Amino acid sequence: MTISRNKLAILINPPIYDTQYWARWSMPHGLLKIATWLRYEGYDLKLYDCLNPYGEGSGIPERVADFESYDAVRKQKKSVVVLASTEEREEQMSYKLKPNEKWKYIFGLPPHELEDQLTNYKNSIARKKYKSVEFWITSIMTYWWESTRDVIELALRVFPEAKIRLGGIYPTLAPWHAEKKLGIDPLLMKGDKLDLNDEAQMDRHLVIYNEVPAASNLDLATDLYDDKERPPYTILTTSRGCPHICSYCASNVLNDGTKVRTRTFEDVIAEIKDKFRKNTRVFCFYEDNLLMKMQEFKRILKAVLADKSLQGIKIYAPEGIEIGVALSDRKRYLLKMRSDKSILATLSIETVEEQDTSSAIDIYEAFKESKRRTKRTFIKFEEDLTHGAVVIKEQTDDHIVLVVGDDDKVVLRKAIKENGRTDLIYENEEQSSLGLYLVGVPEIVYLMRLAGFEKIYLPLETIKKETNARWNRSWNSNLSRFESLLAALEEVGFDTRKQNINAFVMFGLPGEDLEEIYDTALYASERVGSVIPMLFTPVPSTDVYEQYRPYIEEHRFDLHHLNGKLFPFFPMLRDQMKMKYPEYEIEIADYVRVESFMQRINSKINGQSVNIYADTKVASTFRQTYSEYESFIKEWV
Amino acid sequence: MECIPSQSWLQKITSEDKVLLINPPIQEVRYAWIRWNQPTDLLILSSKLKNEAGCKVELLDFMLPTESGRVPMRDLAKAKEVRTKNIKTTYKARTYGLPLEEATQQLTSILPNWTPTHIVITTMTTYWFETLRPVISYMKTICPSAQVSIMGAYPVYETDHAMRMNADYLITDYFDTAEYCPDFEVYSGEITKFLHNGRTLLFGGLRLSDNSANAIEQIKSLRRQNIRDFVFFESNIFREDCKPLLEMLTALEKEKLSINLHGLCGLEIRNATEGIYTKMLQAGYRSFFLEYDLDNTELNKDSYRRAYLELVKHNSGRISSGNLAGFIMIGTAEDELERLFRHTLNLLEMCGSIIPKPFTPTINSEKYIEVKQKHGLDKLTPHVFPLAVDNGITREEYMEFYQHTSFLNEKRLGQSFDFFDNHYCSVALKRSLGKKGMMI
Repeated sequence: MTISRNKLAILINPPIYDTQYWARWSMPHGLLKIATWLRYEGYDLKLYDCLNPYGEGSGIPERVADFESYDAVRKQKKSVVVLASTEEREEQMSYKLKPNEKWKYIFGLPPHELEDQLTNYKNSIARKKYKSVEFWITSIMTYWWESTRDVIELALRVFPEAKIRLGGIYPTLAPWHAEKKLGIDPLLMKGDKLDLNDEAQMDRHLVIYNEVPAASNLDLATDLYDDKERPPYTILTTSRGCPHICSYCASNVLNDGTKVRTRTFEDVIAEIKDKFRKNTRVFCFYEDNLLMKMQEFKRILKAVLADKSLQGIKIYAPEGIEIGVALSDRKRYLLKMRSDKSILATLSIETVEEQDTSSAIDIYEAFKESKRRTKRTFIKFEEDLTHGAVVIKEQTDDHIVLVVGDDDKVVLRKAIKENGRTDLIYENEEQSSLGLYLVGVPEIVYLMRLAGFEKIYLPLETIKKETNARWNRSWNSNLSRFESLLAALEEVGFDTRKQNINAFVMFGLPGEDLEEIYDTALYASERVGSVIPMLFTPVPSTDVYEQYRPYIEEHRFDLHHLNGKLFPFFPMLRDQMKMKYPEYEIEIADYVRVESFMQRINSKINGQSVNIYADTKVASTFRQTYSEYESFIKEWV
Repeated sequence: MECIPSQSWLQKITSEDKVLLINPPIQEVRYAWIRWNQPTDLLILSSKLKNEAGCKVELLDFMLPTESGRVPMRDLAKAKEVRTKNIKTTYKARTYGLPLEEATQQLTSILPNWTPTHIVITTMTTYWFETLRPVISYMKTICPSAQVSIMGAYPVYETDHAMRMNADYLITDYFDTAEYCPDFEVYSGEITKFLHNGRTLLFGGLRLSDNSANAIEQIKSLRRQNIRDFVFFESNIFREDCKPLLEMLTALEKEKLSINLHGLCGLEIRNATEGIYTKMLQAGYRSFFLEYDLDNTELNKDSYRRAYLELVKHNSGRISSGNLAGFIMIGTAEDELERLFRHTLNLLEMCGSIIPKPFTPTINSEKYIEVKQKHGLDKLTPHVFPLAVDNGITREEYMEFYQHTSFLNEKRLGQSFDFFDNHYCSVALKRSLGKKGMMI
């Protein structure tokens, strides 16, 4: 390793300009990995995380103990944007918005304060006489590029000699944009070509796209935060890449293809243990497709479960899990009590191949030999969760007899299903005096629950088959699989009405009908109790973006106009809806209302969310009363 | 322990006495609008005691909210269980108010300088008695020489029950306080302020007295303490054809006091006269929570129309979202889900917000006695729906009803969702909801 000396890297996670922002999990983990790499390369480091909700300047009035309370940062009004247009203007703070307008805010540390802090910092380091100062700036969403531009401008105002290194999702997906719009004359380069010792490179401002392999698997330099401001969670990335190519998703561009790569098991576990030892209790898996390397992920979970020193760990995976992959996992059978749903014991069906005794043969022969080799399947008693109340009385490869609580005999037998798979059945369930039952769930969801996953996020997107097909997501369109996974999640203890399970619902797309959005939102609300609206943004570099490029160009939309919260496709939607329902005037306010409806539908009372789509007497009476409702005030208006 | 009428109790108090008035913590399943609680009866008694007995009075208000309007709350290990027709419902119970240990710590530290001779604990209702025993025990331990009395609805109507609380006196009728106004000054006294860790009043809870000049003086005095928000705690502020209210509003207008009035209770709209809402708006009313008004079983259109025309249609100033709401009584013997939802939607369409108000039978009514005998006095809290199940609606269904109203009420960016216009987004919602089965 070549050690550069006397170099300073100022790392910045810029503030953002948007109409709404949820600050949970905003830690700039890519930037923090880069920081670790730069430290190894001999740089001095300084971090400005403008979006840190735990920072002194975050605007959170008091320190609250609950980790979940930190989902906001300070905000200040910046301008008024007219939805579905390029119009944006400054207004008085007291300005009353029109139905087709929203406030655009500065979220996080405002640029002028960042500039003041940089100026103070510059004065404080004057004595160090750094040979070079570099700004390493991350930029996440493509529609947040404006604040990146402003931060670059102010950084160069304070440190005119400094060089800019911009990385992150924005430059990776829209390098052509970043090259021209940021007020600098940068060298565009792929992450794997970056060479800190190449003076020709280092003398230029750089826009870096794709990952920097040297930093990919490094720890996050969270020590750069002041002790008081350090986020109490960490982001874990154990794999990169996704094998699917959905027409709206840029994963394959970000990861240079569809290959899924994983970090080593030892590396991940070491990171978890190290962070836990340093008091981090909350771990957030940020993966392109968490379950794609299922066995590796399960191994991590089992290691977490087996390690008593990690007791109290909380794990999240806010990017969601792929339904079909979760369901394809082998089953863990739960012996449960019907009265309180408690799990008494778990079992599985193991398969082992007999020993390979053949002599050296070629690969094809080895394959044929493995097919010939017999496999032994047997019932494995995994755990007794009652500390002794479940006893094995008898066991063969084909059946197992358990005695629960001294006198409830449970006979479980292997059975071959029509599809050739082996299943476990509870032969004498109706004789159970304790009201026991057996249910098979994908092992992964059981392990996730045990390992401390607090919430599960499911990509429902839409329940309409045609829409899924349009997005190349036909693999996701089988609602019965969604239902199966939900049932399994409930069996392992996730509560659907307490917002433990959340479904992403997408809207704002060309070709959709508001009724279709309601259908999906109501279905999600009924089944999982928590709906997360995802407003459609065409992501540069995706098929969808290319498909609508003529429309985007016709409307002179820049990347920030494509933010889904601004409903960029409303004119197209309106025209489509007008054709379908000529009797109605469709306004953008309708879409704003649907957006707010999705938030309302998550209303909770005493920890339980509302279910207006339920089959209960109350919900069905509500639906009937509302559908037959006649105005009370029409004569007075 | 002695049961004693208020007048006789009063005769025991002399100018030498030091009286500590206590507004005790409360055990409840829910406590909405906690920031608007104020022990008006104690404040009025304070005026009366100072005036008639000339004694020293201090106050320990366990329920005094913090500056942000919060009152401490702790979950109780013991839940409230109600069983009707073999359906058992369990409610999480909470104690609202300053923790006893904290309050007594403050009180203990002032005892060397100020030791009460009498302690008077008030009770707002008959069913909020569960905290009395521990409060009295604590008080007797730290102030052994003080005589402890209980006043208010509990000893008046449930005297026998109240005898179990170990007080020295049960005051068995209400004080005659018609001539008195609440003594807000008591909160500013050095000792009372110390007992509350420096916290003081957030608003003034007033009565519509016959003499509006007294109320105006009180408002002026509270304004000097920078208190801007006022509520009239009356069961019907429109009583006597709105005369007392009109007098008050006229006096307020004359004084040009810059205050915010909140119509949180007692807006019995059937007694509202033409133009009264307009006058209220002019005098500084910021919120209007309309009491539920039925004509037989349906909403009284006349009274709601009057309110709508003056507060919505002809009010160019507009009342901010959430500050115009209609109460809907739930949990009565006559409840029907369909009617409750229809009225909910009616009120939502008219006001933009609705507030479900759980019902409990009037003290000593037939139903009251029936519930008391069947479930116990503490189950008369409206939040456990004492008449549920018998009326055909289970407690779980009331909870679900609450969730629905909460959804209907939800504000986003200060706006309610308009469920009632003919925009396509309302029509599409109706269609989408219609795809699922209706009433079962």
